[in-house]
Amino acid sequence: MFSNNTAKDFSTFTYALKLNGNIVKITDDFYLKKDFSENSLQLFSKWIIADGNDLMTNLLERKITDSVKRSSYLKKLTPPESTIGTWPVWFVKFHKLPVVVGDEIEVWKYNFHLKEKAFILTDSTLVTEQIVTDEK
Amino acid sequence: MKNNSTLQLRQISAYRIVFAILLVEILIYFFCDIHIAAFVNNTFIGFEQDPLLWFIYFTGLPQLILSNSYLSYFIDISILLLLMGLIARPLNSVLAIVLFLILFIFYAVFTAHLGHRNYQSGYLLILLPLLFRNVKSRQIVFEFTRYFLLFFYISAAFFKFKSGSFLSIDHLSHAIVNQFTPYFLEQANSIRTAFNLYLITHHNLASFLYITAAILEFSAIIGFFTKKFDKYLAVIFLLFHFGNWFIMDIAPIGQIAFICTLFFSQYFAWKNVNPPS
Repeated sequence: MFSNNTAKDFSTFTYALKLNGNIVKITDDFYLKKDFSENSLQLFSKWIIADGNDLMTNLLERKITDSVKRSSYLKKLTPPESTIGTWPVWFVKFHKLPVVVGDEIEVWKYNFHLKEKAFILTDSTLVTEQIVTDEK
Repeated sequence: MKNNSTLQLRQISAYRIVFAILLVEILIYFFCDIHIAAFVNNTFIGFEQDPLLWFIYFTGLPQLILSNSYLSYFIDISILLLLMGLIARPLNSVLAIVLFLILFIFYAVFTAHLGHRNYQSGYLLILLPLLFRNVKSRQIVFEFTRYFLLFFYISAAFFKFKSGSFLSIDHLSHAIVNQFTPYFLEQANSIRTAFNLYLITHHNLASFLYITAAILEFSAIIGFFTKKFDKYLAVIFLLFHFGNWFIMDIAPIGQIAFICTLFFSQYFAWKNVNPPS
């Protein structure tokens, strides 16, 4: 663990999901839930930023030439397009928060930099936003 | 040499303790909402380069289970019941095989939704010897899992040496920058975040801890030459992991029962022990 070389500065980032402008807190949860929330939110955000592409999409498009086979593999090994809308709702419910039609959900990326022995928020970027149209 | 029945009784007691620890670990997963039914309606999955997980999802079995919440809850409850069954009858191969298959699906579902492979897979490996009824097979597979456990820690230490990070005084300070970022965002300050910040800005102490961690991991090499010190190795690994939890926010839940097999490794030698009739 942690044998790889890391960036030699003290900048870092994290992602957070907001429901109606309030961050859905993950650090109050016990380790396993907090870790799952942090990692899956990061992966989801990267997937959105990459326009729905991930390692499997790239791999299958490079390696499988038969379009029927490729489509079948993609269906089983990559998230459906509807995930963009459904996953943030699932995430809110996973944290036992009520979500109703009309609620606003946003995913943000926050950048930090270490300054005078404290992490200072330097900037933030909106990854995706939606108004909830289906509570399921 | 101890007689067969004494050794078998000790094996049964040892496995009961290990499976009780495993049950506690699984309950922690469940209370953290990490169970199969919790992933129903979560359609986001991500895979690393792991053909085994690709294959499992390619069969469509995880998707089938997740498409039905009743089936998902049934699988979750089955995990608990089968584990309780194994505590009652620790050497029952049928229970072990069914539990292994179900836990493997749980592992696949959890990993696919998490998006990366966690090292905490001991809850699967612990069951491997019990998948076999043949005494010699069980013995060989137990030895395999023991050596795998030792190799796991040695390889982690090896990569620290190989990458040269061992010699870099500020390596751990940089590595832990990312570990507590959500805590800083949510302003969830505590002794741990204060200590995390302290290590980021005090490279000498961080480097000392990094080298200590590598030495603790490398101590697993002793287990390749003798089983006499297995209990001490188990204590060392647990110390390493609980230290890691405090310093790096990486918990060993899912791995603890597997490490605890080292406390009882002398009872898990399957020599001269017949399987239960």
